[in-house]
Amino acid sequence: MTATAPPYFSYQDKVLLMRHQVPDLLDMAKRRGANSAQLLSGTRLFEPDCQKPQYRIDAAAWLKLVGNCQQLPSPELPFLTASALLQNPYLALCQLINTSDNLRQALAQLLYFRQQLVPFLYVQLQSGHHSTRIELRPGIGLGSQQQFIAKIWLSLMLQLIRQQLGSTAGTVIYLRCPASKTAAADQTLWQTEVRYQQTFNGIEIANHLWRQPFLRPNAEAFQNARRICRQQQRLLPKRPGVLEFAGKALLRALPQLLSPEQLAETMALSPSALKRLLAQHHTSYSQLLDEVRNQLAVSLLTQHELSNKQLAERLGYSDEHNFRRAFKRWTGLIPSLFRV
Amino acid sequence: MWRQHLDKLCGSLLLLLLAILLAFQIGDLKADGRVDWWDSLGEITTLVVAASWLCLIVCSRPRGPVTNWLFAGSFLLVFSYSLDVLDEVLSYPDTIRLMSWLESFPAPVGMVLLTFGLLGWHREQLAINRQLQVRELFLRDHQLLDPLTQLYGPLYLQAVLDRELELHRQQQQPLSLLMLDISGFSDYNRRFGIAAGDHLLTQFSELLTHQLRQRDLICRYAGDCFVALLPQTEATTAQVLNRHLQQQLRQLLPEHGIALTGVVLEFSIKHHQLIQNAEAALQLASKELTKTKATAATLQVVTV
Repeated sequence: MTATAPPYFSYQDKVLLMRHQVPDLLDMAKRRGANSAQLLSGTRLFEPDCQKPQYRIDAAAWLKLVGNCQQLPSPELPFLTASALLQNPYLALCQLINTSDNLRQALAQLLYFRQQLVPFLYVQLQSGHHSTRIELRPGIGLGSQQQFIAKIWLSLMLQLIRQQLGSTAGTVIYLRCPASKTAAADQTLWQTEVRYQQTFNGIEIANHLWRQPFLRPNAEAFQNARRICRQQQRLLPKRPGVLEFAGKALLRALPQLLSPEQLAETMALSPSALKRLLAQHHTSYSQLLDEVRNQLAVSLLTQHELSNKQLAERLGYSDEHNFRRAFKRWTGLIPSLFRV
Repeated sequence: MWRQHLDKLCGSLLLLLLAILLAFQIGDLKADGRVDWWDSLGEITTLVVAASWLCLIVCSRPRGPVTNWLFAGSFLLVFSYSLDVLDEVLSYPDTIRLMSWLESFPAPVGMVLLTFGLLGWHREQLAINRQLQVRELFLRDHQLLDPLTQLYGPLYLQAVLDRELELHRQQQQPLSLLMLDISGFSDYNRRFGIAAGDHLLTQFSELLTHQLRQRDLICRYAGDCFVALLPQTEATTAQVLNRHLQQQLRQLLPEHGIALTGVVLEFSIKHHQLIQNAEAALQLASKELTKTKATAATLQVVTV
């Protein structure tokens, strides 16, 4: 990394260890009738590189590969990918979470070392009285591959819970996509309640599950795996994705609104370069700001008792009326109804 | 095809003949020297092209409003161009303007009508494309097949089950559905890896195809859950089939803790109002399957 490298990563940065994710996915897709030339077309990857220990690939290549795999009519692929990740002997992070004491510790590790598993997503936690919600946000523009990648992450969590706690009762999956015609069959793959057409991809886990001890905690293996994870962490650039970086900058500034020029300045870009970059990631300044405000509003509303006026001020709206209208647009409900 | 349009053809030919007769009635043949051959060559070509359009329309279109527009448009063109050609060899007296009107007026009108007809044709084609797409999705699309086991997937199952339910209702014939789940599959996957798990699924699906009968439809519903649709079969036969499959699977994998959990859904002839469509039936079956797994039973029969 040179001194002028930006504090975030984009499509062309090599952020993913190939051996962690690619070989398993390739093998599974090949058993489902795809050939490797077809799968690797457009990715600029070569199969012999798959097994090289420290070979890193960029987000664009991974997204292209996922896109190629999505062409297969095999809805189980993300689930199998998650299960392969969880068993991958080269992936210290998954051994780490498998040998944790409980879900809480496992998630803490997963979030701390997340660059090693799914650097393209970032997580926001919303804790309520009975359950805690994990919301997955895209760290870079994931396009049509977002569902697939989110499914990998969610299925990984579910499989961990099922393996370690024996059942997935008390979990709910939230998906942004509408229910497909085969939703009933997909339900069999998830093996838990799934809600479609939500505002985010995520999972809700009942609070009593977080501290329930895991089946096979192993302190020694845990320490070992953690050491390896720390070493890995030094090798992989610990930078957030473009959208995560920009989103967090906007969030920090609220209730002040960061203008596009100011945002560009924090990202060491010219305003027009920022505009281009965001367009590459299928979004824009106003869209990003809107999403940030949406998330903050929902999280404030679920956690605190605030009046509309206070909320409008906290989110940088000029008046209550504008806030109410925006809220209606995000959730389909007015804030007072949402509180109930 | 052209026979459908005989009435239109006769009518328009008559009209054309009348116009030509009228032209000969009014006009006189020009002397040879005054005919501009190059000009008439161009006009004859346009006439031939317009006439060929008319022929193509008549030969390829069924009766209907869109065809009528197309026909009327191209006929007016033919009409106008024929008089145009006649104009080259006949000279009309200056006092009668009728022929020059008949010659120039129908062409633009025909063009407009033709355009209108083409617009209709375009819409028609869009509708046909849409319909073809739907049908294609259904019959030819390999997306309906599960790529790993080459069995049908849930979408196809739903469609066939809907049809079978309808038949069952109409013809009062027995119908059963057997939903099977390989219990212990996720442990197997974890112990031996996903490649081994995939291999097991392929083997099991081959077993299913060999053991079940020709008329049964076998689907990979999701993951390790399979569905066999058994037309003209009662629950007792389905139970026998299931026991048979259990034995076969045990022979296939003697010592890996793999077994089958199954649910037989028998659609009774008496009270069929309970289950309206395939989706509801499949949902019920998978709910019962979860219950059966929880009680550690191997088979449950549900009559709906």
